Amino acid sequence: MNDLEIASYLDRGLSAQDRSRVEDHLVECSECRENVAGAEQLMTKLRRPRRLAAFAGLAAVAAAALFVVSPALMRARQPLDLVTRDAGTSSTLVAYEPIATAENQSIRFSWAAAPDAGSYRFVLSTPDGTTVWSFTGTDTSVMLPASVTLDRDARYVWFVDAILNDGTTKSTGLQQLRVSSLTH
Amino acid sequence: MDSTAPLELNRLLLAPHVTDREAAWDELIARHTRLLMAVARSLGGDHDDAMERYSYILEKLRENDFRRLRSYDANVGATFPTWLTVTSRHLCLDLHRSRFGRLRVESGTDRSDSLRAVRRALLDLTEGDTPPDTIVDASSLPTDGLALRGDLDDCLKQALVRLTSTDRLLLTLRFEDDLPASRIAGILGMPTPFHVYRRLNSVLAELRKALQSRGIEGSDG
Repeated sequence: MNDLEIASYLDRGLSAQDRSRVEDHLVECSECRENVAGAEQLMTKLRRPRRLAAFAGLAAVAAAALFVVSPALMRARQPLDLVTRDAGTSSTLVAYEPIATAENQSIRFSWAAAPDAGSYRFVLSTPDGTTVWSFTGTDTSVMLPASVTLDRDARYVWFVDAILNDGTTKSTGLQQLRVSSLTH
Repeated sequence: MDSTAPLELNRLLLAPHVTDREAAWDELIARHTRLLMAVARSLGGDHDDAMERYSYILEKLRENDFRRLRSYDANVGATFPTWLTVTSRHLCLDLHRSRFGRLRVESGTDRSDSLRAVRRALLDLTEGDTPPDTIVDASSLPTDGLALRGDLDDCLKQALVRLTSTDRLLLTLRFEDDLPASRIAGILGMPTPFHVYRRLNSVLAELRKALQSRGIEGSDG
C-alpha cells in the first residue's frame, strides 16, 4: 500500500470496493498493518490538543466579537484576554496586544517568553489562512516590515508557535487583529 | 494539483518564482510543524534524534522539486494532514532502516497463535460469562486442553474467508496484533471500543455458528 492509500483508508475516503481491497491486504500484510496502526496512533495524539485549539479558536472569535479594540487599549500592552488564558492551560503561549508604532505606522507583535524556547515562529494571515507574513526568530516580539501592507478594513489573524528545546511546541492560538483600530 | 488541496500546498507547487516558492514552503512548514515534530518524536530517542528526523523529513519533502508533495492527490480521499502524517512517518522509518536495519514489526502473535486465540475466544463465548474485553488475551492461552483440534483449523479458515474484510481485519488486529479495542476502533472507524467488543462478540458467534453447522462443537471436543 502506498502512503496515499493508507491515509485515505484512515480518513474513510475510499470507496467501499477500495476499502474492502485495502482491508483484505491488511489482513495479510503485517508491515502495512503496522503502518496504518502507527499513523492512526499519531493522528489520535495530534487530535487531542487540536480539540482544545479548536475550542480556543472559537473562544477567540467569540471574544473578538465582544471586544472592540480601541487605540488606547492597543497601546496598553496588556495581555489579551482572549485565547490562551481562557483555555485554562499552561501549555499555551501568552500573546500581548499588538502595538501600532507612531513613527512608521507599523505594528509590533509581542508575546510572553516560553521557558526553553529555541525559537519562535510568527505567522500573520488572513482569516482564510493565507499567510501575509511569517518570521522565525528568537526574540519575543517582531515588527511588521514596512513592505507588508495591511488593508485597513480587513481583519487578520496571527499566532506564534514556540518551538522548545525538547521538540515540543507552545502556541498563542489564533489572535484577532482589526487593522481599522490601529490609529496613532 | 487539485483545487481541494490545501491552499499552502497549492501556493508552493504553483509558485512561479523561487522567492514565492520559498515563502510558500515556509508557510507550509509553519502550518504543519507540530504534526511533523510529533511524527519525528514518535520513533523515540532523544531530542537530537527527533530533530535529525525532522530535518530528514524536510529534506525529503523538498527533494526533486517537492516530488513527494506533488504526489498528494486530494481526489483519492485523504486529507493533507493525514497524508503528511503517513508520509513523514514513512520517511522516518526509512531513515531508521538506513541506519539500523529494518524495524521489527511489533505483533503480539503469529498466524497460528491467532487461530488458537480465535478458538479460545469461541470457547469462552460458549461459556458465556467472560467479559468481552478479556476474551481475546492470547498470552493467557493454554498450550493444551483446547477442545478444537485437527480439522477445526481448516473449518475455521474457511469460515474466516466468508467474513467481510472488515471483520477479518478486526480479528487480525485483535488476535494477531494484540491491539487494544481503543486502537482498533480508531483504525476501523468504530465510534468507541465498546463497538469493537460488540462486533467481536458478534463475529465470534457467527464463526461458532458456522462451525456448528459443520458438526464441530468447540467446547468439549
